[in-house]
Amino acid sequence: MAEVWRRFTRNRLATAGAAGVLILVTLAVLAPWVAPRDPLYIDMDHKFARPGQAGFVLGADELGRDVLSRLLHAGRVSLAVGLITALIAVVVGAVLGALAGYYGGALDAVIMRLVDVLLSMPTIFLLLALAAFLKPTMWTITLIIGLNSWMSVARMVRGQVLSLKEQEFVLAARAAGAGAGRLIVRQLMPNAVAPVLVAATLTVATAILLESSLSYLGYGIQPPTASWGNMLNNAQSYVLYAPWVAVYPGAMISLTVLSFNFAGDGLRDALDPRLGP
Amino acid sequence: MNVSRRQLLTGAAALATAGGLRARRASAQAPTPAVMPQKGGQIIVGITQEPQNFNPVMPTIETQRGVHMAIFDDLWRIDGKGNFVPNLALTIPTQSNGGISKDGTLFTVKLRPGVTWHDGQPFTARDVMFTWKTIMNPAVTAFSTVGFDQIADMWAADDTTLKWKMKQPYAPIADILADMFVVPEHVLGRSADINKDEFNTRRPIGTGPFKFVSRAAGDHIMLEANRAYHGPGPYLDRLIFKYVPDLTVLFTQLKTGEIDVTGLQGIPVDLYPEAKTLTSINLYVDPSTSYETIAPNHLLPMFKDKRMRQALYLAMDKKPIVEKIWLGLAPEAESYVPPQSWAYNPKIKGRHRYDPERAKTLLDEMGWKVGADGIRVKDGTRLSFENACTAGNKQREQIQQLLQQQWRQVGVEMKINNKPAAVLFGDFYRMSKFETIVIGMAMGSDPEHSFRLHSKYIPAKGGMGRNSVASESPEIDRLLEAGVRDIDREKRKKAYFRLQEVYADELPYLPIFHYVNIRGTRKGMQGFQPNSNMQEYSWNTNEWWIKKG
Repeated sequence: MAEVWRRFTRNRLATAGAAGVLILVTLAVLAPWVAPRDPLYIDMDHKFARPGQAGFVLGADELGRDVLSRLLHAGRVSLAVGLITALIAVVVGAVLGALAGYYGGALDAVIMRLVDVLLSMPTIFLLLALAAFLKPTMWTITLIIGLNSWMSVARMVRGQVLSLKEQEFVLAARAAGAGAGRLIVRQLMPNAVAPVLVAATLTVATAILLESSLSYLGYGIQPPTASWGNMLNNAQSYVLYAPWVAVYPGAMISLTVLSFNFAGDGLRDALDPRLGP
Repeated sequence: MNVSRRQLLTGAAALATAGGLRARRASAQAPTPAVMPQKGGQIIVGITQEPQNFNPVMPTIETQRGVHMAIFDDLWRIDGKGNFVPNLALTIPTQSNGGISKDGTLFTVKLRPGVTWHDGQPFTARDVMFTWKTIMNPAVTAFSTVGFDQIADMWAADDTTLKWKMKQPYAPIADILADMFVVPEHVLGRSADINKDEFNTRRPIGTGPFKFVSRAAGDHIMLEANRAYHGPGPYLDRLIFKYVPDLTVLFTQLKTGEIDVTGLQGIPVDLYPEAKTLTSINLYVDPSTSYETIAPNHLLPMFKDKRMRQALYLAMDKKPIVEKIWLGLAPEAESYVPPQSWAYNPKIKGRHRYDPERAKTLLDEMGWKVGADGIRVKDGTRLSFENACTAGNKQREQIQQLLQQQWRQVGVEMKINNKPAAVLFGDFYRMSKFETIVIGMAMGSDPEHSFRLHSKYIPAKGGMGRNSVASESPEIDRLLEAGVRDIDREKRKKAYFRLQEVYADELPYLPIFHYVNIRGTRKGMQGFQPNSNMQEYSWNTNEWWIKKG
């Protein structure tokens, strides 16, 4: 563990990424206390207030709502969607991938064909079809995007399990009497963690962007609740004459995606035993 | 020959509707009759709601009707000034030319000879008769039977002579027939099921200036000129309707030249300041007969009681909507009748008051007590409902959020759940499956509005109309019927004046403001005529042409 930590902290980008993630999550958690105003309060007299005008630190949007407060509260929504989606994707993907890799045969075939079918469907259409049946709330959107993101994790885990299950340490454990479950959890999964972590960080980014696309079509997080995605979509009409409404949520999405990616990459490098000391 | 409505239905002196429907043009582009239209080219009309059904007899939305008006013909159309313009009819029937009998019930219309369908077959009076019979056929889901049900019988005296008999004199019949587009008997008469015929989606055949070529679902509809058209025009080679769901993108495409005309829903008002500065387009700002309203579903127990609707209306502050969102361009609405109409009751102006305290009192009286979370409760039901509007329409989304905040202050919870237009205005709205909706509706050229208000026309109860809020008010029904019984305009006015008073009390809908249409066309396009008397501004595509050079 100490070895991993050391390798991680020596990687500047990774540390910056991790710090970024930490700051973003903290701000999101503390949003209700840190935000200067009510993010939902409409004040038409201050429509499009410029940053710094009338006490609006980052300006106001088309309904006179404080951009900074909305940004902070939106962070909760977007990060929650991103993180929980990644969790769903990782859990479902890892379980199905491990089962497919370990047992092989018919189970493997069924699971992998399911993966193939879902991967071949354009994401947006799949999401729209599901969204037409389920009412768009934060939870249903998270569920939908999560169930759409587990496939690559499954393939990765399956690949790892396949390559590892004939190795000596696994055969030894089996000879010692370990059952399938124990083998999968104790021996095989830990070695699949590295690629899965990277996939998880990418999933966070994709999830935030997918939520934004859903908003554009009317099936995302519903107004007046703010998410970075729907703030960005709302702002596209006003980019030329009220750019602050678009720039800040866009910057937050970029920062989040970068932070998670750097941290994820750093973690993968730190965990990989094949890279030198 | 153009005939004004006064000549058509002789009765007492009628005030011209012409005055209020004057177009105010931001840039001068008045085509002079002496200029010869140049032939050739194509025009792309951008629209934000996708047409899917090309049969003009079936339920429709305005952008779809806009396409029908290019493919099909009707007996006559109404121009921007309120005059009737003959289309398939040779002349407009009047009492003085014998087209209308003395008692106002028997109509004789001579039709243009030599008109052919797009498949080459000859058009006859039987096709018009067939169209009316199809609309009235209970097995066909018609867009409306309002007014058509006042015709006792229609028949073809010969190939070019159409006759029909009204059950009793009915003032709006000419206006209603301006929205009846004729379909071919030789095609649909043989159909197994008109509701599902491929005529509707892939093979519409009309007599209009443009022929249907193809539709790319979700993208565009391509029409080409009908060279055998009886005229005038068409001058263009091709007419394309392009579906652009987002209003901002629509405007951008007008600026870049990807589209030549903004169809419904036009240029959003927050882009109007920018639109005014552009020299590459002609900008049109015209009063409309459309109004924006909240439609509450009366089938829901909480909306059945008019006091609830009154309370919601009292808690609505229209000022920020009209002044900040609509930049003062759109006047407040008290009912469906716009200020420029002859039927407008001036005493109604200013009737709506923003009075949240009175709203709270009314809700208290009804037994809705404020709960712990600030939302009122009665008998275990929270005063909470959903509101839907067309996703992508920024003004509507802003109105929704404003109302949400305003209503919260009196203890009402409104949840937003938006949908794309095609979904919203499908069965969801039509068959009263919604809770509340933000919707724009048009009165059209005549104050007859039974389509939206009369209890006979509730689709969820089997009616063929669009009273989808399921409003059932005996007094409103009575006044609507009185309004059409007399062809004397002064008598009609009495009924409509009273109707507006009752409307302001009963509030079947909660009208917010009257629309102005902000539209743009690319410089060089000629023949475009804003017209709020037809459902869309593509009412005269046969007269559109492009000035080259």
